[in-house]
Amino acid sequence: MPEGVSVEFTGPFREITKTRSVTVDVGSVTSLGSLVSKLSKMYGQEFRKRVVDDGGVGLRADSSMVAINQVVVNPIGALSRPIRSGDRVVFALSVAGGG
Amino acid sequence: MKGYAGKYLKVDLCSRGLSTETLTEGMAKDYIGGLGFGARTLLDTVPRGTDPFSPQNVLAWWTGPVSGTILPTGSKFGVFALSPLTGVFGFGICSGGFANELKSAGWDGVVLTGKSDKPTYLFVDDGAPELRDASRYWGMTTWQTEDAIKEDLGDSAIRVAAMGPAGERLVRLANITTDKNRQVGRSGMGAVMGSKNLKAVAVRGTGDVEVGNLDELMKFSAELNERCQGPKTEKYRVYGTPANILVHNRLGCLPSYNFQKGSFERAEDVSGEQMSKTHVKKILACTNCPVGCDHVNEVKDGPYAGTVASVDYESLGQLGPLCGVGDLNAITKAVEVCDELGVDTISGGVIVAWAMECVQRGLLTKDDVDGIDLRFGNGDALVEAIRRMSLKEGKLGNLLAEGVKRASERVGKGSDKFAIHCKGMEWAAYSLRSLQTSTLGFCTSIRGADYLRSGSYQVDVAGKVDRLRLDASRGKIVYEGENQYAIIDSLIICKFTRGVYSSMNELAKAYTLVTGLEISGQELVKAGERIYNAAKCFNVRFGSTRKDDYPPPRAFDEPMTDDVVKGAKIDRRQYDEALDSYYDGRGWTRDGIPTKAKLLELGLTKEAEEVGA
Repeated sequence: MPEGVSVEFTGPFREITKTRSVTVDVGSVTSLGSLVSKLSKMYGQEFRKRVVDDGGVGLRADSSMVAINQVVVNPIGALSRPIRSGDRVVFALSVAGGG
Repeated sequence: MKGYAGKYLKVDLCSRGLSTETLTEGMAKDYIGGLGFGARTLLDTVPRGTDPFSPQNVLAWWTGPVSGTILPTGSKFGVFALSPLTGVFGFGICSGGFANELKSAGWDGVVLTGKSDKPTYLFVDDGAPELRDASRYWGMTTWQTEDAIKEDLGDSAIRVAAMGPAGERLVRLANITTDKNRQVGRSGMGAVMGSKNLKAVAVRGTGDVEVGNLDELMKFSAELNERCQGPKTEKYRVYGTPANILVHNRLGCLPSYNFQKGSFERAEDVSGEQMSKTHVKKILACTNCPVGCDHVNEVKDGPYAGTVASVDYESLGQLGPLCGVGDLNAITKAVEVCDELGVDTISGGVIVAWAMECVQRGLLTKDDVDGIDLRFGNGDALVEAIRRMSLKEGKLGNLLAEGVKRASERVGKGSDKFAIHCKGMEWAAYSLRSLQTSTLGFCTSIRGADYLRSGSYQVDVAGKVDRLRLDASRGKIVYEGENQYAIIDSLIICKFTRGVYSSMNELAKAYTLVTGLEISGQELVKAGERIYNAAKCFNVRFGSTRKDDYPPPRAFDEPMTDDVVKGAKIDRRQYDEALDSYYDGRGWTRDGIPTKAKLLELGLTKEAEEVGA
């Protein structure tokens, strides 16, 4: 089994991080919130601002979407969602509609 | 009554007679414009049993009340007819400058019937419309036609909406193009033009459009313009809809290989991110639009060098992953061929993908496909198949030009099981089995498999529901979306600004500021329900029942194999439960027929008598 959390970036997150994907050591990462904190340290506060809502507990649903193991995370209270070694997390632009 | 021009043009192509009709205030308030006017027109003019290609079919062009005003994204029009692809309510809604021009010329719409005995085009020159000879333009592509008419009329500012060679040949998925890169797509409105020998409609409008409250409308529009620069539209402005590709791929809901799979191994190669780096030449906005979502590709090298086409998510998905094609050059070329010859990119991709699966399964021989190596992944074969289909060339072209439903019926051998459509309309780029609320919305759509009638995919993609199952809660999601979208399509504004308005009350405010007619958000919702029911009544007139509201067999019978959504398929019992909940919430019978009581409640008195249960 792979160690750590596999994180993939698309759209604006790829521009902020300048990479398609990264593997993050589990270490202190136990929740989506702690993963976002770790990534914010790696890639700057622009990353955090893009993901976290003004209240600091949910996701900024109008501009981002997060999926853990291919399941889209409900933005409300999302940062407390548990993260485990081997999980695959995708940070993506919130998209819908293709007309 | 402001906003509206207050009149529309009636044209009988048989007698070449033109007349002016008055738009009543009752019609305006009950049906708003665009889709609503289209539904009312078709109900009033197309009798049961009409052949879509006969002179009895109507071809109605309608603007909305906000067309020609400063309200952001209001520059849209719709074209409506009995569809030769589906045999039910057909239409396409289109942006560009055409709608504003028509309103400025003093017309809310144009309603054409009959058939011209020779190629003709309609030139609406302000208040002096006339039919003109179009023999010189017959055989021209959509782009050539637009250029030639402008040149002949000596005015490059004239707006032209034209069909291409596909429409002339009655290809059932033929569309209409204006401003070169904007299409009246889906359901074959270009083929109806062809059946009437109507090559184009050209418009020059130099008048003003009066509004109910100019000062307040300017303030409100400025605020909306500001909001349009915010996060609600960032995805469209910056990345374009092709940003969907990677997200959908990760969620296992990116249709590939004719919906056999929900992911694509070359998704990165055809992603919006990649396209922006290597192919996007410029980003355009439609007239009156502060968003600007139109990402125009240019092919810089290889055999398709010089190709230019607007590539959105739907075109990219259906001409790319759905056909197993991971080459952006070939995909861009396929879009360009569709646009110039005048066929719908979504339908085109689905039909070719079906033919590729027929080849994969040995149901079509090399001879059947005119010797083309029609394997999944062959971009050159895709381009050639699209060209042949658009021109009805050879065995393959003549087969595909009929649309996937008829083509599969002709081939037989079980190929209908993987002909991915509903009501004869080819499925858009959303997974059948891993976006199940979306699938319900596609199937209840009045136009056939259609992502633009309810937007029900949004709750699936956003994770607001369990997208791998269905239940009785989904009906309400779908019909509320349909009613809201019916209003958007009647005003007509762009769906990409749907998040910019905070509520239906704000849409009602826009309507009142433009027209001077007081209406509440609740009344607007009721109008949306009336419009949707009116269109449904038209479908019932043409035999539509519950049996027409189901997805293709693949949705129920073949579990998905992608690791992300392995085993996903639709449970038939769950689907029936969800469909029942939709009918119940609509006030229709479980056979999908509006009840007399519901139709009378909505003021559809004649329809209650004719089709109400």
